[in-house]
Amino acid sequence: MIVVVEELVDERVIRSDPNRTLIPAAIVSAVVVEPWGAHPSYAQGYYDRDNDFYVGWEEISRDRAELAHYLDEFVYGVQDRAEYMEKQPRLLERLKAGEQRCAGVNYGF
Amino acid sequence: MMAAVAARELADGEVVFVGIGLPNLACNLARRTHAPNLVLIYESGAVGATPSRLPVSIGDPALVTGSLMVCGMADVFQLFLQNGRIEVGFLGGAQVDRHGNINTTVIGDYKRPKVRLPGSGGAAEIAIHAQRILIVAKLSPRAFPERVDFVTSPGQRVKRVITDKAVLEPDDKGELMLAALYPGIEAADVKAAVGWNLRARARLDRLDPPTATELQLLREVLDPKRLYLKS
Repeated sequence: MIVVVEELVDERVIRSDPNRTLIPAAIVSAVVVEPWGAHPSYAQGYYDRDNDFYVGWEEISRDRAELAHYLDEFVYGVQDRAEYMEKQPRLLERLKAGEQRCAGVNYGF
Repeated sequence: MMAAVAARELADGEVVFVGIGLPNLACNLARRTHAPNLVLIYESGAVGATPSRLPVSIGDPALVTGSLMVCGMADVFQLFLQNGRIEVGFLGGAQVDRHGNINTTVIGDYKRPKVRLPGSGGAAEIAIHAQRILIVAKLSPRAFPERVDFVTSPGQRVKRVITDKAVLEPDDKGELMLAALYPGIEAADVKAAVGWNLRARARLDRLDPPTATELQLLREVLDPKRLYLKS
């Protein structure tokens, strides 16, 4: 299993709230640290779903040439996500998540 | 008008399985008007969602923030739907027949189809497990044939069919009848748009057009970009 993550954190952070662990290390083969890797979808607490992109995708995906053009520019034409993001500087300000922290959990016993 | 009529069907506090499209609009309209305690359950796992904006997809972070619970899709179907905890389910489809059966599988013969449709998704399960089914669909003789080409979702639990001209309801044998008309529509208009000899209730209700509040919420707050609303 290869996981793509927004952020690497210390193991202590994971162990501080084990109820939220979905995939423990024992079943992970590799980790890719790739911020904004889920765009145009979302990562809660990091960035919002890019609904404008999804609406626009209907037009792009309807036409073969349009689709090829999109893939050339945003998939084959970039080295990595960082370059993908640099090409679209306004994404960050448009989609960056606000703050809404939960109350926290007491794991004492 | 369809969204407003659908919203008015929901009572405060009811548990609703919300799909995407017009029912999504209707549920959120109801929550902002007469049914603030409506419990919205989305297939993606958000239970008791309180979206601060209209979610365009069932996978939207606005469904997660502030909801009662976020679970897996299998839990939504097993713990809530199959357990009989869903009071209202909305369904739509390419064809709806005289008995409220819905077809979202195939137009024409199953083995040699004219059009292959997306299939059931969760619809068949919603149709048999939700306590009350509301269908939302636009009227036309093609969309309302006497018998569907394929029964994807059975019609036994259908309580209302909300169309663009009128509302149909089943009689005690489950046959859909004309029950209520929208403003400016006559019974003959509805009968002409249905593929069987549609009977009408002795006394037909006349539904009120959307109120100024409903229109303002629909057009300016919930769907300002007109993703669902056409007019």
